[in-house]
Amino acid sequence: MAEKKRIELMVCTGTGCFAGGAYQIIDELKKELELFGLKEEVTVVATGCNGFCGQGPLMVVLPDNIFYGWLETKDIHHLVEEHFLKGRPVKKLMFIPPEQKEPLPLISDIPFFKKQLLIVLRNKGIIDPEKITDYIARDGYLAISKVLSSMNPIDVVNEILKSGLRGRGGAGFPTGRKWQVASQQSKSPKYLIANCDEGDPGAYMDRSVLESDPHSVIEGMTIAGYAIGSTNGFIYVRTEYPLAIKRMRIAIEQAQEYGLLGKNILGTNFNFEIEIREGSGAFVCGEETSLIHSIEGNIPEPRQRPPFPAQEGLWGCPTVINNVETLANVPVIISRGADWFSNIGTETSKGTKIFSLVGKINNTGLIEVPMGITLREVVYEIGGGIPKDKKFKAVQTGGPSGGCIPAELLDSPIDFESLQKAGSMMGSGGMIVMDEDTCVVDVAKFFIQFTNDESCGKCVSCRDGSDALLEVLTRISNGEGMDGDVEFLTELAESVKDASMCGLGQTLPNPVLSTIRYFKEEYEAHIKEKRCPALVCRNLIEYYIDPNKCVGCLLCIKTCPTEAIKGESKHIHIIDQEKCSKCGQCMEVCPPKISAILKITGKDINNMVQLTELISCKEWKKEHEPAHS
Amino acid sequence: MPKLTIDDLKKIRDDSRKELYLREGNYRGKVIVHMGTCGIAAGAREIVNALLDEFDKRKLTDIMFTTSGCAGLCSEEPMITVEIEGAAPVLYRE
Repeated sequence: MAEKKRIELMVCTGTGCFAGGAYQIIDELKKELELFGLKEEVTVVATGCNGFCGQGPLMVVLPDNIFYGWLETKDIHHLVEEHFLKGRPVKKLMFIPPEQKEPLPLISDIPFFKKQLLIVLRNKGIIDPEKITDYIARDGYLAISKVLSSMNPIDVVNEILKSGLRGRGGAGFPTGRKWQVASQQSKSPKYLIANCDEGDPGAYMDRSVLESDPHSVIEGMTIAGYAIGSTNGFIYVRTEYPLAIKRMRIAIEQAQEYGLLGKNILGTNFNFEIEIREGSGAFVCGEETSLIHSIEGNIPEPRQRPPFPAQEGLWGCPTVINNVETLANVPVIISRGADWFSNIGTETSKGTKIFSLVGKINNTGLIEVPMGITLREVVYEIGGGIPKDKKFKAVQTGGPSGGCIPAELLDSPIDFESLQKAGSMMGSGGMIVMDEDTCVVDVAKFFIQFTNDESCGKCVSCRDGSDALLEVLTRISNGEGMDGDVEFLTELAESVKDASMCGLGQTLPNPVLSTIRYFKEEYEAHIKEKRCPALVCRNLIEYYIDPNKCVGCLLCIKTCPTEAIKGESKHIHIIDQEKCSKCGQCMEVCPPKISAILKITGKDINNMVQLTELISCKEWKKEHEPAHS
Repeated sequence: MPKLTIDDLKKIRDDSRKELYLREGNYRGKVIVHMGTCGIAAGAREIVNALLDEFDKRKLTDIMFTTSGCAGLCSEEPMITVEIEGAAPVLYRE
């Protein structure tokens, strides 16, 4: 059969797009292509995560490089006929930047992609993750060939040391240093573990790497195994990542079939096997020693270090644990050289970092950027700013163990040291953007709730300390804060940090400390004035109807689930505060032209109470009602 | 399947790369077939088929093949535009 392929449709099938119906889109595309007789000319490829998750389900049309987002099966017939048959790209399915009217057809013109630098995600959206030949075509497994044919294990360790690669899982420990320690141990066997226990709310970098390019992790692991003298590798991944596990399984099978895993790899006498170990999704398992306990079949609790896992790890043997993203960097460093890699980034933080950009941001998704880029570039250029023209308030980096970075530090560069100085951390790369409608007390409470749930309970400081932090934060957000609470929180947070054994306890107070550091006045407002400036904490806000605006349309009365609103047609409605559950639905249904519902806090409530009493009194009614008739 | 050697791997890479050339985006030029209603009526579809066969026969992977809408000169359809890097675009008619 003659090769007639002229267009390839790269349909994203990462978890986000998958949930959005990517496979239905693929089926529909295939059906329509058949219908128009284009089956041989246009092929459909299911790729890993493209990154622009906020636009999913999405696809990229190659070689034209046209980006289509928010696809629905009903659009496909039109799309196939117009674009693939007649050559007229369909404008209405293209990306339109926020607040603009004209679409941007080419993926290369979309700001979300422009500022990115892809090393780890070099193959995302270009290869079919379930085909090893796609990976090989993009120079895959050439790094392991180079290593096995021309490098000693020590050369490999030195190359990684020279590159300045640091662990991408949180602490940023130099990867080469870890390998060096393990390679110097005389005890055998040695083990290598890829850590894909990703538990931060809103973070999915590692999952995406496994889903879009599993072979890069396999290759990275094999190189690491060779460097430290290990023949057994484990991928520790949470069972909540079924797609990542499935693709990893397929990849391992294919690599074995090609002789790229197993005995005598590439005809040399190097052997390496990889096993997948599924964890049940406990946050503490991301911590090295807990992870080891989990693989051994024991309760995942951390233990005191030293000895470090590189000296005494899995089953008492030297073990290197690297994050998935770290390992995916390795083949590229070997192929292109340490010098090339160390030219990217800052003095102390080399290379790139993947972040998942979520929260109150226009372009939600996964990005890979060079270290040293500023937060402002990430939030405003790649992220496209804050929706509805709201004001940027803070960004939480490093997940629940990271900290809030306020607007005044937007121009600071993103690297391990700068983030730490700002009271946060790199973490695994979650980035949650908050706008002016976010209450920092509520945020701190949310994260402490999470870490409190996830604390394994071994250290008193972490277990009971997080309980106490949560109790005080809850009190403050309920309007029962007392003088001295802020000082107490600070002191307690510092002790939890000092007294806990593992990273979980040592970092869990970060959200509290950083919000107190940058937004102390908000804590004071909650405690002293019983006021929540962002209008979030339910006990401190009340909903009122502005009598000067209400036209008596009954909409809010019909919507209120607790029947808390009184009134009749064309008469001003009044909310009964006793019955109101503060769900805010009345505010949503009140027509934007009217906007009569007010959400208020602190002193404003007293003023409003007086006004409402006034409306209820007869004279006022006589004068003003029926309202605006 | 027998174990691969490094040379086998390179061969697989080169073979697979041919499959992926559409994704690499290294082109020295492009051929555009104008596929408006007028073009299709005048036989643009056959032109596409003939061109694709020819591309395949000659193993042309560095020329982008694409289609577009009506070029405006409907009476002269079917038409194709050929753009080679460093040269002015050429429009061929009928």
